[in-house]
Amino acid sequence: MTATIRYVTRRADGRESVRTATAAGPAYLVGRASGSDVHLQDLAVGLLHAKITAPSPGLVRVQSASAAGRIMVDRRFVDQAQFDLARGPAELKIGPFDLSIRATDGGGLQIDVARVQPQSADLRADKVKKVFSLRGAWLSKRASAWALGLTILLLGLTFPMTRLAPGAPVSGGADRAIAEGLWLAGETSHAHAGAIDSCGACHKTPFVSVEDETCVDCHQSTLHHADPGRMLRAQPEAGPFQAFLISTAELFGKPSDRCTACHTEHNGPDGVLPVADMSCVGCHAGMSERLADTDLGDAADFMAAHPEFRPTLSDVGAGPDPVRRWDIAALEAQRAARESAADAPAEACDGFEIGQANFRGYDPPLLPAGAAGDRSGLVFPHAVHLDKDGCVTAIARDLDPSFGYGEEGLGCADCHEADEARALFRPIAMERHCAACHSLTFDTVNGVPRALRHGTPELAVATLRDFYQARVVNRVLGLTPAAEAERFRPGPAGLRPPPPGRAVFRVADQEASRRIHGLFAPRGACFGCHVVTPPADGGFGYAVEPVRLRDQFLPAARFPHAPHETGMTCLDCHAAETSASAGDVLIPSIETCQTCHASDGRRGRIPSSCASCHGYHALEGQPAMSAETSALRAEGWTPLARTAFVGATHP
Amino acid sequence: MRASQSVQRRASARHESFLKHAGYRYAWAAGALSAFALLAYVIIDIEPRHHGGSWLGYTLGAISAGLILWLTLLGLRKRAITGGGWSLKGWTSAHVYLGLSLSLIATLHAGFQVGWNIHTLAYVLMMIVILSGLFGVYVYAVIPRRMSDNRGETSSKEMLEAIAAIDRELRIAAQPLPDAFSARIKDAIEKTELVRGPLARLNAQPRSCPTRHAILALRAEIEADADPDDSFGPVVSLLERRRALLLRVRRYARYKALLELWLYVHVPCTFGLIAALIAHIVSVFYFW
Repeated sequence: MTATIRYVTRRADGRESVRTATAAGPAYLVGRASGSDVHLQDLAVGLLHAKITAPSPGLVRVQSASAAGRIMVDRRFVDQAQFDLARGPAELKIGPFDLSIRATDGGGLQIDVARVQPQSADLRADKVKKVFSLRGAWLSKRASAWALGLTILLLGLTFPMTRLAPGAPVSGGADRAIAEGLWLAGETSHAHAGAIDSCGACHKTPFVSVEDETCVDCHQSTLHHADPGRMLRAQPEAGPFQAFLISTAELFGKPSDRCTACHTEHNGPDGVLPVADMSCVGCHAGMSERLADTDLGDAADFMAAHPEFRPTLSDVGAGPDPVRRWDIAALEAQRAARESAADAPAEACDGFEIGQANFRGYDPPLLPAGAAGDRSGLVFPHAVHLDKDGCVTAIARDLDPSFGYGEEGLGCADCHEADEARALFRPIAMERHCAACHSLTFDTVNGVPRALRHGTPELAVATLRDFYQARVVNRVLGLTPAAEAERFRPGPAGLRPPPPGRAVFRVADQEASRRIHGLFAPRGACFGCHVVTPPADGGFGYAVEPVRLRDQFLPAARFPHAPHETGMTCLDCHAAETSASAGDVLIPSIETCQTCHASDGRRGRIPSSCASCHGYHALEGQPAMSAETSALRAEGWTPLARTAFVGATHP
Repeated sequence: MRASQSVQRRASARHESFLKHAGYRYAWAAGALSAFALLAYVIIDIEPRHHGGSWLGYTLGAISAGLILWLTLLGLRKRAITGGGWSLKGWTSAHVYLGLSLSLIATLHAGFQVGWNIHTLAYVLMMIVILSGLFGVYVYAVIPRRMSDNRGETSSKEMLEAIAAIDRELRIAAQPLPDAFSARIKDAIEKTELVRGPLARLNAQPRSCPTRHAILALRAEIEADADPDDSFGPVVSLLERRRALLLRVRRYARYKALLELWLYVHVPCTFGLIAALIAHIVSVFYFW
């Protein structure tokens, strides 16, 4: 049985070309191998793919010849299939080929082979651009751009705005905290962090800069820097650039006279407090030209343009609580004059008896009224007390060790005890700091010392009178021990009888009187340290000037001692060792500070701003910084219209 | 050596890079702007520290915001072609140099303050945009030369046609092979991805390549069999040629991807940046 095999090729123009071959039966091999009866040249076809047989006339069987030799009939893969050619040609598919088998008139078979699928998927040139471009291969740039942008707007703008709007409920929930965190422009200062629990506490109205009233709500005791009218006059005319900055800030709703103009929040733990020197210097440089009646010197730079210190001093005797201020230079000049005029302190330890309530040192010169210096009412020469070879050191050395004075004698800290903050000092107390040497004990009876109470002259007078009267009473009643009695018997023992009753008391009173006058007289216990005015009538009404020791000589400046205790001693700054008078002011000159401090830290010095020493807000005066400023603004003043305004409304 | 230099010189005379446009005019401008900002930052004393809310901070911030908007306009500008002083090349040159100076000016605006907030998000997105742009400048400077070296004198279309031609030869040459090997050849032709996914195409020599596997399988058979079939030899050599061409095509795809890929970071992040910038500015004025 012969089979005719027709290989049909369809061209692109639709024409068909046919190549014919014949094969002898009875079985026909189908495969890619060159010897196959039905030669199918495609790699999808096995070398020996299938076998076609005709078991009986009119019947054709196709069966797979290898494991992979699949045959498709009626859209199903089968291993073998049998066709009755009487019903029509057998149709099957092998790989990309359609096979159609029919019986020929001659009793043979005709097998039509046509390639139905084109040669597969080779890249076509028209696709080249698409193949290499990322466009379409991935998420488009436009889509992801919109997605990212809208997400950020939603989470970064809409979400916080709805949570933080003034009317929004204060839930205290995590969403609010997240919203605040998203918008927080910088760390809130520690001063505010604890006290303020939401953005809206200060930022009360959206798009309106924080107002002074909001600050004053909490800072009720914060005072004005000075009288607003005077502050206005102290300001210089703004230069063109400054005027531009001010007007631009005004344009954006940030007036330059708000609290927030100096106190910029959200700049770290201490960010809200530091104030630029420029804020101070803006007015204080050349201020005396604009504010003729000011008491303050011009200040522009701590090193180059800062007035000398002017300590605030006591002026005892000139009024209830008078103070006065002196320039350090004048103080130092007058002190030098005093030192050259005064005799060297006498070495007057002889006769100084501890426990005898007296002072036999030299009589120090008292500062006359009107002289430059501190008139505290106390007589106290630092030099005598600090002289390592002097008698005070010698006496202190002989004191009981329980007093705490060592071989070195007195040191600064024995009297000037630092306060808890190690900034200033505890007040000087006579009992605590002086009485170890300057004892007010005047007698010892039965081994019990009798002392006067310090600070009460009337009580001292009464105490002494009572004491001498009581001693006579004791003797008359025989209560005085024999040894004590002997001491008070005038004349050789046993020769004279005791005086009669009244006379005894008169003698005792004379003794008391003598001791009282001695107390207040030169070289007496009180006179040694105090300014004593004897009574005109010769009685006991001695007046002792009150002592006003200052705890701060420069009250307008901060000076913490503690940071200066690194390798420096007190005497490095305070010339106490050569000070012979309590009138001497031992606050150093500004030059001493300038050896280490400079405004901008130039020449290796410590950077020190105005605010390092000075506060802005006054210690006393008018509170509520906004009220007067608002009033001025209501009158039409703006930071830029200073000249016109000062001339017209505030001459 | 000398020949290649002169070729380069001629090439550069013919084509001036946008980086060198107008004698580095915009590099100088951006440098001057940066130096001015830096000088102001160093000289002007802001208490308690430099921050975005000082007058200098607002000034630098306004400059930065203006720069960002102008830099974004390149996306619109490049769609309109003009010449002369406002050529697209000049615009691109300015875009690159002013974009670089933005990284400094915006940093000074922030006063080096960062946090987990919308403000720093804007800054981070801006830096991502600038860095991706910098990468773009780098690939534009380096890749085109490598690309033409890779292709030789052929176009990408010719390379693909060459592969298709080899495939036709392979289909014929592989006919006599045993089924196990002919299946591999079929896979190599039909299942080899010339150009893979956007990220995968960055690797021009993937290990899992059907063409490579077919070569390995056929070579192993040739070495193992004492008397290999004659038809193996031509198939292997065709496969080798196919693989060499594939490498070229894939390198071309890799370079094309590099040239485009950075834009998929640069452009979306620019939109994110503008959104974050709006949120940043609105939030600052909201809590003014």
